[in-house]
Amino acid sequence: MSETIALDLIDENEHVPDSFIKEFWNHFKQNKGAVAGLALIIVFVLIALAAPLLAPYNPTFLQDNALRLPPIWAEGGTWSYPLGTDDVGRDILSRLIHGARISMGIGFAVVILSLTSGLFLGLFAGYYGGKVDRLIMRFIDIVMAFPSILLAITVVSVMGPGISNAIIAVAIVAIPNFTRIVRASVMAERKKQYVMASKTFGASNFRIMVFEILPNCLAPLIVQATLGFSDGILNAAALGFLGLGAQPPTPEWGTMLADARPFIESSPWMVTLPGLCILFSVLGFNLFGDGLRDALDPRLKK
Amino acid sequence: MLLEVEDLSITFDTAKGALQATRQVSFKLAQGETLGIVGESGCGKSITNLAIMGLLPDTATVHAKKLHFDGADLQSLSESEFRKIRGDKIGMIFQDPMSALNPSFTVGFQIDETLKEHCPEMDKSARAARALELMNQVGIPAPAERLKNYAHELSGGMSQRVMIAMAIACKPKLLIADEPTTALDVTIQAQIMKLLKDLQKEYQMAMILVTHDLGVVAQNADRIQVMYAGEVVESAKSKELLAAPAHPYTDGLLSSLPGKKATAFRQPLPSIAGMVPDLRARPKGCQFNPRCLKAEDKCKTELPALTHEQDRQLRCFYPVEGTV
Repeated sequence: MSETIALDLIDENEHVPDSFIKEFWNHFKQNKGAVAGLALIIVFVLIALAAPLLAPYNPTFLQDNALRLPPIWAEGGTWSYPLGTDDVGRDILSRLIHGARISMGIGFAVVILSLTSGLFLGLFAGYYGGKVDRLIMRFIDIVMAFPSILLAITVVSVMGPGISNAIIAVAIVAIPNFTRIVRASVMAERKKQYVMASKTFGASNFRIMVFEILPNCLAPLIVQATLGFSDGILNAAALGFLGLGAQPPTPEWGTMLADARPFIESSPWMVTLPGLCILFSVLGFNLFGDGLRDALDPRLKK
Repeated sequence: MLLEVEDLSITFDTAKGALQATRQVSFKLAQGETLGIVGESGCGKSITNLAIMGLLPDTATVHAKKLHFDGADLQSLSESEFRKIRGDKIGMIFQDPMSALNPSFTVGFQIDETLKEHCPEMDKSARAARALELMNQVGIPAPAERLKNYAHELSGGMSQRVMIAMAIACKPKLLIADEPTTALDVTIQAQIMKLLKDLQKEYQMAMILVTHDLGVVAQNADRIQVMYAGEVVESAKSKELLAAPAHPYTDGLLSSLPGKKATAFRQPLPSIAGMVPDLRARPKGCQFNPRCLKAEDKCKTELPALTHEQDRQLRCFYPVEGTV
């Protein structure tokens, strides 16, 4: 242990230390799965951003003469509808492309909402401790006591179905993860001497919390945010499937899955394709999140 | 007087009952003067400093007849008024410099932050110039490059220099050095102490030097205050105290230093038997009596008062006589 530290010091004196991004990338790229995950995410994000340009048809336009056409690789498929059409004659490829936009948007909104609220709850609980901590953590315990999808369903049933309500419901379910992670790291950090030192320099509590402690808690938070993205997509799709999330004719993957369920035997591609989209986007974020964890965690660094 | 502390008592409210960390601690500090506070771990040295900084945890209650700094009554200050004093008029440096710097930011950023907080009249370029000047002043080679370094890229001595630079950034009137050299090796210790001395002269700072290294206070402090179990047991000018320790505890501390007393070559060093008492179960009478070789019955029932004799203070019925 002491030997490696000494070696590190010598290295640093001899050459300019790598920038943070470069060092991070060197660690990250060793994990092939994580790089594949990142590639998947980039593809999905690009598709989402350029959806109107990529999609050959309007995702809600009904083609009267083309109901449940199979994709091109199956018998009877045509190039005009590469992935076939659904039961009311909408182009599945266009719907999936627009679905990427919706799913990425949902994931993003869920992470932003749950991250900000979870972060501040955790920050206050960890920094102040005592009564504040007990109050916040009991609330978090209550949220955690419900199975996540059940809680989301309850929230949506109270507020009414729809994308924005689904986002709020899924975000509430995700808050405890963030709160617990932030609280744990804040509790470890606030005892360190640099916190006391910044007090002696006259820093206020708020300043210490947000500008001194928080930056030192970011690594696990970034990882959790990536994983939260996939949870958000998955939960929102589940709500859509149950008819509580995005409403038809919105081309949301979970909703598409639900719509196609009656035709699972006669037109299996209608359920398979949106299911694969959900699978690969969630897989991408999970792989990327694991890679991030390895690359950001100093304990796992060589 | 820059700092006047009179009858400072700090009580902690713990789950196992009240704990009196310090009792009736009094001292004064003039501008440019250095006070060395010595004593074993758990004698209330650091707690006293935190009380001056107003940084004790909520479980502590502070009682003092007088707690004045630079004309302000520290006990009546609001938190936001206190914040203006911390870092501006009182600076503090710590035992472990490596962990006293925030690992997420560069050294330059952290110095800049302190200046931004306390010197709002300085603009960005003025602050950058001051940061560079400070780094030069604390003797850091290649200061411009070091400003861009993170804490983990610096050695211990270098980090302590940076901490000192931050502490003196606003030219404080009082610098509290809480065991500033304990975590550093001996050659660096000497350099850091010399640096502190030089800076003290330049800025006319008063300094409280907390340490359990008698060698360090002997060379650097004008006055030495020996604390035991949260009480001042002896206080005198450094030379007088070192030449003629009167309290058996001071005497014990001094004779446990290698080479100070007439111990024969390769004889085991004398040490003070026993431990600092549990502050929740203080002994009756003199706090030092269970460990004291000269203790008599009177010591076990009565707490000696702090006697003042010229410039010396002593809390003992049967002081050590003669010189070392």
